[in-house]
Amino acid sequence: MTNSSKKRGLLTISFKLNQEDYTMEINSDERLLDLIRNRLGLIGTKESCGGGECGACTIIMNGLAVNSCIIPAARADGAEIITIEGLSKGMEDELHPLQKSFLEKGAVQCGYCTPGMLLSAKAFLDQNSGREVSREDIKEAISGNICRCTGYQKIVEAIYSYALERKGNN
Amino acid sequence: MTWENYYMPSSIEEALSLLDKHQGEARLIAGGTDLMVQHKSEPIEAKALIDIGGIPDLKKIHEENGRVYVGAAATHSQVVSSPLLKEKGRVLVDAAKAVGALQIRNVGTIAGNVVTAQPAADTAIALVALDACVHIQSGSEKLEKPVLDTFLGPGKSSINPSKELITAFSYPTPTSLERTGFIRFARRDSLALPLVNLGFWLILKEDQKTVKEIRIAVGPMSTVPFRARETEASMKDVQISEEELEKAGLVIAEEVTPRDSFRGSADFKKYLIGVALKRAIKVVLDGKGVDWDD
Amino acid sequence: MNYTNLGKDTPILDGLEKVTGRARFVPDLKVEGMLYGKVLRSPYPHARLLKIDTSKAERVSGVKGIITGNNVSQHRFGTMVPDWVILPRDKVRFHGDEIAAVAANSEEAAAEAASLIKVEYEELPAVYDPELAMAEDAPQLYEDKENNIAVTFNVHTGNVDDALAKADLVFEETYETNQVYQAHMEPMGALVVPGDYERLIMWLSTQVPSMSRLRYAEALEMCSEDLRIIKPHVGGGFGAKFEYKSHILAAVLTRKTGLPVRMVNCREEDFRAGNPRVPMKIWVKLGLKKDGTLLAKDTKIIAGNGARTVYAPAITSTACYRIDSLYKFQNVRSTGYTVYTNTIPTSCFRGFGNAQMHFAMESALDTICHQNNLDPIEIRKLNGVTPGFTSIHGWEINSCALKECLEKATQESDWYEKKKEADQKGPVKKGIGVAICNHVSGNRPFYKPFDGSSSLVRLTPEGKAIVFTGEADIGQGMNTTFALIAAEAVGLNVKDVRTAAVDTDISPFGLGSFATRGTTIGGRAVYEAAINLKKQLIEHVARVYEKQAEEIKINNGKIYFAGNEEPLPVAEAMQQISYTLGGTSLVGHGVFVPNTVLPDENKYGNVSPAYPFACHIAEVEVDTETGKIRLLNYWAVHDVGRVLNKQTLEGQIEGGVMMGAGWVLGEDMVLKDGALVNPNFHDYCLPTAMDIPRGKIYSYFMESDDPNGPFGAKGIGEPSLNPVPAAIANAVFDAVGVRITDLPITPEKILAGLDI
Repeated sequence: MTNSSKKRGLLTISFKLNQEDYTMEINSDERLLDLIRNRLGLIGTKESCGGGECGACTIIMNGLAVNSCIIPAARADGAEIITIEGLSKGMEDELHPLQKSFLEKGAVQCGYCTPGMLLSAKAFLDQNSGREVSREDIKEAISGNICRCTGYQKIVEAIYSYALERKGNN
Repeated sequence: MTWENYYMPSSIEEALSLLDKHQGEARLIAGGTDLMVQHKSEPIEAKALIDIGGIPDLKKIHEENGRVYVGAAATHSQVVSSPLLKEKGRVLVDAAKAVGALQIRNVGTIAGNVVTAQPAADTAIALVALDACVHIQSGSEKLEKPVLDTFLGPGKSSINPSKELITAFSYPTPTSLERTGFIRFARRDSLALPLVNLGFWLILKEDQKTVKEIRIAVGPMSTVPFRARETEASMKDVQISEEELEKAGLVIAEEVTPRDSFRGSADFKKYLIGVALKRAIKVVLDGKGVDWDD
Repeated sequence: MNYTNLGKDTPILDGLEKVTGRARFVPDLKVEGMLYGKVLRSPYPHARLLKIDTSKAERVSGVKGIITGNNVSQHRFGTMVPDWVILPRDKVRFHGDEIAAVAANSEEAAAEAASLIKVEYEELPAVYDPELAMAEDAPQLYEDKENNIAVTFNVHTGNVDDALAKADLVFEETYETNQVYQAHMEPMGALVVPGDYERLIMWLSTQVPSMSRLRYAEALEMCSEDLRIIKPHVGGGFGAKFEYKSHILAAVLTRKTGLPVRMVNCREEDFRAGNPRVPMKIWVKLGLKKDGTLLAKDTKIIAGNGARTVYAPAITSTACYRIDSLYKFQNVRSTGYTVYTNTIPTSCFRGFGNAQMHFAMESALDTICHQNNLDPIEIRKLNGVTPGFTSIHGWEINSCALKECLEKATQESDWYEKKKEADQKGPVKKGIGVAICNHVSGNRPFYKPFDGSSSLVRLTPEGKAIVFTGEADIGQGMNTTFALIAAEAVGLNVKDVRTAAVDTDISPFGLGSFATRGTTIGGRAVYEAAINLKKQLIEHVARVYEKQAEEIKINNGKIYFAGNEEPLPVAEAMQQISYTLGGTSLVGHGVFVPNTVLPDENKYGNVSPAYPFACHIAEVEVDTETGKIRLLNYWAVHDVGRVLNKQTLEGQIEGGVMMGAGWVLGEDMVLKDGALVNPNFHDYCLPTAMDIPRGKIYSYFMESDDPNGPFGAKGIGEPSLNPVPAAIANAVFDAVGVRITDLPITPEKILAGLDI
């Protein structure tokens, strides 16, 4: 939806988002972030730098954490996407244990980086479900997510304590 | 001007026929981590984009007939976690690990890193050290050339993304006497462009101590990824020791011609590249992992 | 004291909406018919505007309104100096200065139209360095500002020359602190909606809702009552989110178009035209006795104001004299010039000038100790202020656990053992450094009419309490602190208390989040309101249940009577009470205007009701071959008066330490010909998770029980950052013997210092 003079194509794409199937018409040069935020109204995915340098817009796409601000929406065709809204559905669902851990351990301050941070953490832990992870691993895994409030320590602890708890449950 | 179409072909043939159909007005992309950002400031002049990220053949990392092949659309993350490359392409693994942050590595590709032709692109530096070949397909024609020859200037590649499809990069499978390594110094350990980076490949003589041959690639020391040939020559037949590495560090510092930038002065980069060479080789020969984020 | 709610780890009360992504910030707000605003900014650092042609831009489909200096009022206004106009007609003064603003029905159309506005400029000579800007022949930014000096600050108390003449040791050094960016993750923005009665509703990402309203009323030539400011969730502020030009532009566009306008900075704009830290050049001269007793301090500061005044003059004066009340000085002299340059207007950033001065002072003390074989811990104990002390500027130090902070930090860090460690082998050397700090909790001269706060606490018929305050939670957890204070004061459980979002139609006046005043001043007003509510509640309980007021106690949501009578839940009692009051809630009203003093012409006067203190010790490792510095461990001991919420206190400290570490170890806004070279997050290097200490940031709290703070509490926001640059600089010196006096401490400077 635009009134600008740029000529662009309309494309139809299908994808799965938070376990629901979507087929949508998109602009050929639309960003995936804009599709998620502006067209689907999922405002939990944030824009902060717009250049793939801060991780606020992180989503999980086909199991991998990616910055939705630098991905063309067209590439979502056939993809499976998880946004923060997919981590615990609606207001009545139980929180994902990582969300709970962030909350309890004080890993959240202003909350602007939080959705992206949670999704980076989730993608990382999902990929390493069979192995023990160290604090150093966690630091590296979230090093593409900038947080200006917390100094990261409580975020690392929140992820680490969930990783330990999860290991204990296995 | 913006692209009107965005294709995601699932085979090389399909990609080539799309290129053909658009007669030079389509452009290939792989990863495209710079695409949307660049498009904002300087619209991409192409009627269609052909995203090769979904072509399974282009994502393969394998060994065949004494050569290691890395598919053009292999992401940095794929490279980092490849067991084959861990054993037979360490310089590339460590270079890929240094790129951006995880979210970028999950999307960005080796081919993208080469075609954007930045003088300090980490994996490009690694490929130059490996003296890798780039395999290109253009219409029905297949050709290959040394990756170093594709760099024409900052941001300028000889590869025409409207005509030529990179299919893979390859290099000879290293023997037991070959070593590779990568190091970079940056202003922080993640999400940073390198201040200097260096990749090397070397083959030792039977004594396991003397350099038979070495290739050293460094950035950003010139307008393109730079082969430090004088330093390479100076190290030939040299038995590696602390002192010799010190000497080599001084040679390379003299050889390179970096520019002053707000990230660091030319003199600082010259000095650092000497330290980089010394450390990269020392760590690899010590058998320890490269502490590339140091 | 046994508290029901205080002193624990209380997760922030608005955490749930944040971890689920449901929390709404300004960029997430959208209303039907909303337009998108875009600012056209100057590509020159200094230029005369000859002609602005918007005809082409107006033809872009979707454009609803364009404003330039030619069609907006040219009256002057400002925060401290009236050097703002809505949009200039005559000239632009920095690369990024606002020239025009567009409102269109898509972001893209707005951007396209902005790019089609044709401006003819006559480039003018520009000046970027404040010191050079003071020269006689420097380009002038404003005709009425001689030598480009916006404001001069002077203080001289005692006799500095005499004291220096008598001193055993005289130390002199120049320090430079660079310009850094707050980098709040949510860029600055506003949504302005036309309201009923021709009012404007402004949803702002701001730390100062009430003050913004006053200033914007002035800018828009409206009555402040006709502006309704609502503060949704705010994604960090750190000093940047005060009065902001784009908010005003969005309002003007709304008035012009009659439609809602949302204007949110893109990151590059936020860098280029935010309000970064005031860069300073600081000359320090100190005179001491042989034993380390400080006799005199002489300071001169040249500070960069940028192209118009936001709060830099107040920041410069803070740098000039606040630290004088950290030590028992008898003779101080300070001159500070806040100087216009053709650069981004500078303003508040966590620490407010005190951080800049702490780098200078605490580095200086370290060098003095090193050169004269004095103990850096002992010299601070010897000179540091103590409880009951009145400082040279009349600051009344009530609670003060500075000495205890020093002792705790020394002990926890194993300071003396680490200091003894012998020469280290290999290229990587370890080092340890100390710095202390003071700060204020509220700052009387910041807003001339008063420094105070007020609050309402409403107890509903359901027994839930809602705190209304004009003080702004900007992500630091202020609303949770207010709820804790109200809960404890009334006798409720914090789970039954929440703090309402600031809405100037409903909330009482609150100056806002700055000067580390939220907990102490805002919190004390909440406390007073809660106590007032409690009194009412007890009276009503006594009336309805026919009891003696004196025998009623309230704790943890229950009402206790004398004897063994079963306690009554507050919710149940409130229901009964409300039936007798027409169903209404009880509302407690509280005001706190501390007994502080606007400093006189000699800058004498107690400016704050409470002064927080801290001692930081940093342990680093320096690679002598690459110059790379790594944090190993960090000990931060803070005199917070009273721990209200341990978790958010630690959060403030960990965030403050890393923000300070980012500054000292590399953050830098680099200008070339007046244009910012690195307005993005890959070239402006903020710390990532990989930069935090390899060991840990350890936080400890000293409870000095301040008489003015609620339950004795003092602030934490800024003291968590103030000592960081010097603590790290001193640790680096300890490691490799290189003293860096200009920030940031880069590997290149380390190597130059090592003579490599």
